[in-house]
Amino acid sequence: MDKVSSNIAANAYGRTSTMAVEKIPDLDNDKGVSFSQFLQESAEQSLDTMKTGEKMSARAVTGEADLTEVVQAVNAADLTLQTIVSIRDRLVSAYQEIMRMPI
Amino acid sequence: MTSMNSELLSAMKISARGMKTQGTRIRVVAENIANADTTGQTAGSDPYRRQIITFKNALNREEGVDMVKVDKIQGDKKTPFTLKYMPDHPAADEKGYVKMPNVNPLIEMADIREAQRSYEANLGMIEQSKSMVMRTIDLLRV
Repeated sequence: MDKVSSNIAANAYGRTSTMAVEKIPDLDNDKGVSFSQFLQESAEQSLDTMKTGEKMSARAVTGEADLTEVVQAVNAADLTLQTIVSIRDRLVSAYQEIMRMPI
Repeated sequence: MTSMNSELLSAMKISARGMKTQGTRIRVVAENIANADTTGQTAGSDPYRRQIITFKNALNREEGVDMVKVDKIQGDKKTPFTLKYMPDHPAADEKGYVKMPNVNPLIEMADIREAQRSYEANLGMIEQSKSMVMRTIDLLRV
């Protein structure tokens, strides 16, 4: 009886060790997006919006573009810039808060 | 190309396109009113024909949304030309009648009002979307 129960216990222990190995996350093949990657993609997309805004204002000066299209593009660029500035301010203030932390 | 507030920015793009098409509509009405007295050059020839603008929805694949665009600007072939007795006119036929354009200022006036209301509605949509984006950004400001 004693021998059986100790066998069961050993088997269970063995199983837990393999379970633990299976559960270690595979960081190299992680399909999720990292924070820096997300930041970079957002920045690239924002840059596109800003470029469109600039291009449209240049076309407005030469009289090629439609007024509503110019207003829309500049508006979108403005909103995107404000979003970026807000995020930057937030990041900087978080950094400063960490710097102020007493060690 | 999408951006951070892509849905709201798309909404603003759609509304801006709506404003653009209403601008084209105003242009067509302006042409009609300006040419309300434009007759033909030779005897018995047709005068200016009233232009009608039609719209249609067009899928914008870049944004994945339906936008409005001008479908066609074509002549009004159903409303007949009016005849005016002016025997001295170069465009008068053998009986002395001149064909006048089928432009009705009252209809054009109603069209202007409609275009104006639609333009304002789109403008209001842009204002609304913009204030929503701005208020969301305000959340980040401490």
